[in-house]
Amino acid sequence: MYGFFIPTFVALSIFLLIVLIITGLIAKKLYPLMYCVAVFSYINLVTYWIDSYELKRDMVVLILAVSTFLMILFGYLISKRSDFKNKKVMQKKKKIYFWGIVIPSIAIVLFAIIGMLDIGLSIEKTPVSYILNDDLFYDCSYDYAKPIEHPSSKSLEIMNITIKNDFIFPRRVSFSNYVICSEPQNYFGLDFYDNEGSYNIYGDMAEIDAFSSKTITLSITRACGNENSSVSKIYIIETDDAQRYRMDCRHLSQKQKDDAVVIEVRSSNNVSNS
Amino acid sequence: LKLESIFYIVGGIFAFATIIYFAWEYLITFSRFIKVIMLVLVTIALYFCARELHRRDM
Repeated sequence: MYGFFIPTFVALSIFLLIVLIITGLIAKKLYPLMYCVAVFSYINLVTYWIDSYELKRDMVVLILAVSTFLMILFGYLISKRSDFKNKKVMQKKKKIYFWGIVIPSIAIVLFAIIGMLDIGLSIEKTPVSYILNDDLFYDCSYDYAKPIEHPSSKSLEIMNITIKNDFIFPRRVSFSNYVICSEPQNYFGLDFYDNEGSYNIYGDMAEIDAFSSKTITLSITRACGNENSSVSKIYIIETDDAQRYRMDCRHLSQKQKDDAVVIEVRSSNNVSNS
Repeated sequence: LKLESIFYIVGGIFAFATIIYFAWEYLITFSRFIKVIMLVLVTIALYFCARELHRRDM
């Protein structure tokens, strides 16, 4: 997701550390170090903003120009040390500095709490009513020498997951881990994708804008089989990361079956008769 | 070393641990918008902190 932010952050952190040590040794005061940390934070803000939103060149130029102006302005303000000798001005500035620290700190805590809460977030799962047994398997005698698409790569949509965000801020939602089991057990692959591309099913995240929704399709990749291969049910089981590795599809508990999304598998004959 | 300094140091260690743990566990789950806003606020708070230290000539 991040192109140049992480390398820039690491390089800047190392540079900051060196600058802090040198400044600390020369100045023997705390405030030059704090100015350095504030500038470091500002540079990170600019790089993160440009990188994460993949801003266009006009916006990048604007941000860089505003940054230039801001840095010169702050340099000028800091150079006006005569203010610190005026007692009246100092009393006024003392209050401004105090609230300048307190208000952003409170706001950071509030934003952190808002970010952690799931206000206005809803997840709706819409599984398909049934799938055909023939669609679940491909012929194992596939000839790898033929330059055609491998049949197992054709995935089969089984469930849509709609994540809705009814809140004023965008949200990042991490996907649940899913395990696919079948009755009788067979090994099917699992895939997550939307119109923007595919996701890693384990621990990936999607960002949902304010008052909008995102639909992610869960599909299974077909398994190698023959004319005798058949399953009667597909269980889509939501797990946490630790359970994923311990899930035994051959010995599912009744609770796991009850909690799972169950999809009926029909043979082609049943469907044509019905 | 004053007695109150021990509590301040331990408090500082807890604050540092809270920030590190928060960043490790929660920051990744925040949307880009919230992260940008938080970075803006951190920058403002750090600037005023530096100004206050400058005022006190510390």
